[in-house]
Amino acid sequence: MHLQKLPDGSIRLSRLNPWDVQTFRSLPALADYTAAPEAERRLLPAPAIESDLTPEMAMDWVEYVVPELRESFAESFTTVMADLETLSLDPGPEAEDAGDGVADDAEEQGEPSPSGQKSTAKGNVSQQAVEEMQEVEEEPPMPHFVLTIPGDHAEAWFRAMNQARIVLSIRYGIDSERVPELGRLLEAGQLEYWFQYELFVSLQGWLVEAVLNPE
Amino acid sequence: MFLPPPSPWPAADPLRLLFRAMAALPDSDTELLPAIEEEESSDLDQPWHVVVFNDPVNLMSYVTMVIRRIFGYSREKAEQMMLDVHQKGQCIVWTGGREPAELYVKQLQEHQLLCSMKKAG
Repeated sequence: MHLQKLPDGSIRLSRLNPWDVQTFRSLPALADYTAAPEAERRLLPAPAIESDLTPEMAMDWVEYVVPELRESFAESFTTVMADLETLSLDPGPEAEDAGDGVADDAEEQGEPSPSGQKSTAKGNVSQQAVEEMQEVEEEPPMPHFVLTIPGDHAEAWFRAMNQARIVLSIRYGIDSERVPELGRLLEAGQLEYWFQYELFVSLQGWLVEAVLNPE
Repeated sequence: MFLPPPSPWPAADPLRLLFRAMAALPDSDTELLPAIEEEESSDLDQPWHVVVFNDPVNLMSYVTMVIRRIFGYSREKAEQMMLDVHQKGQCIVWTGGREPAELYVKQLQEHQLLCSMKKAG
């Protein structure tokens, strides 16, 4: 995934692979706190510590403030999902800046090796291996996607991912301050959540530094 | 020329004078009112702390940005508060009346920071 802030303030996410796209599309489900009471309490806590909270304060908060917070949270996902509707196939870096892929193409073009001989992808390998490689080469390339997000949607994206991480943290014990128990996550079929969490951390970190608070 | 609408009460209406006199008289109900008003007033006026708590999810750079955005603090002050949150577990980011404190807590919660109010002192 490539991240770029464009001169007009919009954000370009390119070279998105299908897993990236699926992860973004699953943001509302990942961030759903309605089935996780602890996550709901984390996102919508009482306004005051227990010893200072009066019943009137608590009731007013639930009646007037909590609905607005819920609505605010939901708006982020509406924005994100609408942006994802504008996803398109990424023509790739070759189409964007021809000639910038020298290093990537060198091996395919038979760049001279340090010994002065031209190396080939097919040198010193069996015919069977060559056929296998050809089969692999003939597979259609993985599609990549590109997405341009208006600059003023950056905060909605940030909050949607933040909410997803809060819920993932509470539901599956994944967070940024502990080394995850990968074995446990793997056994529980939850390892993908950790990858998703890390994807969000990376993108959020970039959004804060480059877009939301670029000083 | 504009003329004000006539008053529903004649200037020397005896019924109006009676209502005025009754309103000025203390009775058992009205004696309690000042005490209640005073209590509500003191609850609203007494200082409250707005406290941000550490949580393992929010990025440090984001916490700094939100504190700056909501309270208008300098980068240095907001960063110090963020570090206090991170290292000490919590930080008082504002102190004042209850109603503004509630507004700040709402704004912080909207940004998904873990926060709360508590009475000062």
